[in-house]
Amino acid sequence: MGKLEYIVQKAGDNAYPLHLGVDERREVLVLQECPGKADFDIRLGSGAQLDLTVISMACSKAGACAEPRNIVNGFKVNLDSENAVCNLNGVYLVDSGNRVTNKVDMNHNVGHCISNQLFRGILWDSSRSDFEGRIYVAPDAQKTEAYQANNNIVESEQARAHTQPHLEIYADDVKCSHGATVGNKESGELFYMQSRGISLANAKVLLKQAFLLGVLEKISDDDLKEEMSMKILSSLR
Amino acid sequence: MGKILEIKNLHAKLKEGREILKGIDLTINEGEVHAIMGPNGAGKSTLSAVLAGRDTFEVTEGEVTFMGENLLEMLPEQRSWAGIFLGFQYPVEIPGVSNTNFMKAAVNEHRKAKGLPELSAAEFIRMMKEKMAIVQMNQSFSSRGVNVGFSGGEKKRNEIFQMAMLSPKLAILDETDSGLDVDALRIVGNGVTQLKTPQNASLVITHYQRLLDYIVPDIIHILYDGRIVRTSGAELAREVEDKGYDWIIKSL
Amino acid sequence: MKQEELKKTNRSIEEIYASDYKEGFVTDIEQEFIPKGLNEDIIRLISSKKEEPQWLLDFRLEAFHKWQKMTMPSWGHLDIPAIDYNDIIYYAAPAAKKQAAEGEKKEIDPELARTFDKLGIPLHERDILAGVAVDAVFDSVSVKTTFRKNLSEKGIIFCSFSEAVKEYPELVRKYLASVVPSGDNFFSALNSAVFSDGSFCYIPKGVKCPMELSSYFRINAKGIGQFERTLIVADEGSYVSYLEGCTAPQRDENQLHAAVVEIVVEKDATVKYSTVQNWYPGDKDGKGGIYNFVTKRGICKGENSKLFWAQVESGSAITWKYPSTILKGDNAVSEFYSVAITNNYQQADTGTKMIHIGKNTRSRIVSKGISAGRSQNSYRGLVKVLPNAENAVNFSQCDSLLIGDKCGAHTFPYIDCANSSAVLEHEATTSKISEDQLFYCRQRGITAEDAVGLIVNGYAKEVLGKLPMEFAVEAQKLLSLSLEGSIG
Repeated sequence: MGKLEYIVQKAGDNAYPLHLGVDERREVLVLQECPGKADFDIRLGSGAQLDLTVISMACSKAGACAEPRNIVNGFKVNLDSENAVCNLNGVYLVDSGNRVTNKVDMNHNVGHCISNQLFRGILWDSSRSDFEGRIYVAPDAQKTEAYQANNNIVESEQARAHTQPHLEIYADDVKCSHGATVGNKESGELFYMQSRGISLANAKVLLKQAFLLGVLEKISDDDLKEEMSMKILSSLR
Repeated sequence: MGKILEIKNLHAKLKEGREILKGIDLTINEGEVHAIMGPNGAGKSTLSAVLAGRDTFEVTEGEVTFMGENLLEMLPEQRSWAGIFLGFQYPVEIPGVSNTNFMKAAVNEHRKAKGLPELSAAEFIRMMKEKMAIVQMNQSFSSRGVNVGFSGGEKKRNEIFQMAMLSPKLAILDETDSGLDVDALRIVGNGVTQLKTPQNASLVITHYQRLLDYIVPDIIHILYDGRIVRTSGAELAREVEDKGYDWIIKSL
Repeated sequence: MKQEELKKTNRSIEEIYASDYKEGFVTDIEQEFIPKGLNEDIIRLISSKKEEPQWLLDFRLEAFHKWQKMTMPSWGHLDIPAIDYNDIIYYAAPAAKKQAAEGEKKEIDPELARTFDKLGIPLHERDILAGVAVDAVFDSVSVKTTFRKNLSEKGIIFCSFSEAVKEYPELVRKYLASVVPSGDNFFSALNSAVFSDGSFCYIPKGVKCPMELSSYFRINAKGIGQFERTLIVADEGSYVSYLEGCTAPQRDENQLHAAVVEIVVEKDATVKYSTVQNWYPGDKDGKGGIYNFVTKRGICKGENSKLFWAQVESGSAITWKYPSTILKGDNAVSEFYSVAITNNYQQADTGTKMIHIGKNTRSRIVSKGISAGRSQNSYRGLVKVLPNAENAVNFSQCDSLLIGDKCGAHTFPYIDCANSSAVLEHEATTSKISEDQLFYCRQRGITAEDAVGLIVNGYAKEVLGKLPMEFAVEAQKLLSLSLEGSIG
């Protein structure tokens, strides 16, 4: 794998043309701390692999930009050549009146490609998150593997999490799945930690860390992984 | 001693690929137990799949006569009705379909093919219990999905149980010993031995000699590169065990 | 095994298909029709035929005015040809109906009795499966409701909708459109304007209905649409299990069926609603078949109320249907279990909505889609948790099974959560019947077609298990039958 490209996104509109050639591999990490829009236009050549992680910090503890901090991400992926692999990862922390939108349009236009989507976020106050993920598998795109997961933890009565995963499948020899959760089935783990002497508040933070680290561990560069983890952990409450 | 299976100059290839069987000749008579041994990639599993009618292979040359009929013209289910049973190396999982329902469908199709009426529920359950005892299978297996969540040993026992239910003329056991511990091996071996009659026959396909301690063959064939290169009595298995396949291949 | 050989030994697909839909016959009976078309006069005519009170006519006209301003929903994953609503006959009834209309005493036309016999729904109580009461609806009218008297001894009201309007107007007026407002959607507005008959059922406080209640809907006449309305009210602490079945003749023209079902479940009451939908699906080229555009909704109004949906959708050229539950009472529970199977050119867009309003409300969705031929099968669902729905829980499982490479399977779940204590989970998978499974079955002597039936029934087992026994057996056969000709 080539060196990880790390981009700190500017406020306003941003375009990311990510067009990979045959057998090319790229890993991209985007940190978003300002309001803005990002359009990821992803096209992969045969045998190419893209690992993209987008961290959206729409919370008051982080970032230099003023609120409201609305972040909109559009991922348009076209898999037009065989044996390509596309991994999309997202983390979002949203509070006060902020809003994060992740819209994924994953098009398996030919067979023998793999796509993975993993988006996780936590919402506080009167924030809102929208996840719209579409997986399209074209007729004859056999041996496609497409997976998608969106997990949300809602921390306040006023916050709203919307998740809308779509699967549109027109080929039969495929492996596709998607999962979405809102809320946290944590009572067992919490109690276990409490019984080991960890306070409830701390136990909850630990679980949220684990929840987000599930995405951050996809970052291959250890220093950046550490930096991102620290940034996120300091924003948890 | 009637002839059950006669294979003459059988050639078969992968549907879109290379030739795997390059001229097999083999005759199996009533009451006989044959074993086919050979190194990996020799074509052992291909031979069993071709005999059962798997459509991933294409027969390019040769004849196979089973109980006087042209086997190669039959559908897989017709071969089953005619008396061919294949014990799978990797038994397939069918979620949601209970072992009982699966076997009921199979047994009744067999009876239909023979012009017999369907078994009543009571008759069928009696038969299930009786045959499950042969492989020491727990009753709880009957309500579980076919092979779903079964251990390797349980799957193989289930194969022998199904064989007992369908009482085939010719049982082809494809690497039935793979993934079995000694206890399971004994149960499977005893099961097969119990099911042996002077009218049926078995073809045991194996890489190792150890299963042949439990199922003693009358005749052993060594399959190598798509051909049977040696045929001999049970003592051949020992030779393989002691000296390996290389020795036999080199001595050709 | 080679496909050609498979075909040789199995019956030809055409042959199977011709014999496939055994309910496709037409009953030759003298019928009374009103003119084609949809306008205020037609609505007044329907209302006057049914000798309705003014309030109900007003309800119809209001709904019609709403409908005129609405357009057909286009968000479904469906390709619906344009429908000329003025080219439909909105009322057709067997002529004999005119002579007598007094519930059980009326003598049913022998030809009609034969029709229902043939459909497996005998209307003479002595012949009926013990423990199932039937309301038989033929085109636009209910022709017979069995066991009315036995049920009334327990205070249970089970009759046709028209009779309910005459005999229990206050109950009908109280609950009509209380769950599905007339302007809820295009088809509910249309139904509210022109509905002709259907079933009405009221289970009083504390009563456990001793038998299964059922409605059987039959479309017979050419050129008509069927617009029935079912209203079920389960008062506090009561229980009822309700079944619904339907069939129609085999015709080259499409016919419209737009029903509304409303269910009210009061405190501590339980309603089970099961459907086996077997409308004519059209032929192998996609010609003909019923357009099934149905609004079904229940409200778990009181605390601890429960509503269970179970459905097998095998028929119709196009299905647009989302049985839904509003979980209003605290601790209310709702489940939705569905198998939708499409073959040839059928299209189905079906699913459910679970709206959590009350505290500790729980819902579960299990949807199994099976697509074969050139069909398109979609699951569409909404799980919505309102701010006050503390500790709401939902689990959704949506699986798709594809048979062949010309069909499509789609899932469109939507989760909208506004409460931090809610736990909502959704899972979806897509699979196919593997060659290995098929070969394994065939090696054991099970024919390819039987193997598909076996595997599909295994796949749908969880849902079939939720149907009442008599229905489950019927549904199993239906699943295997619907897939005949889908392989080979």
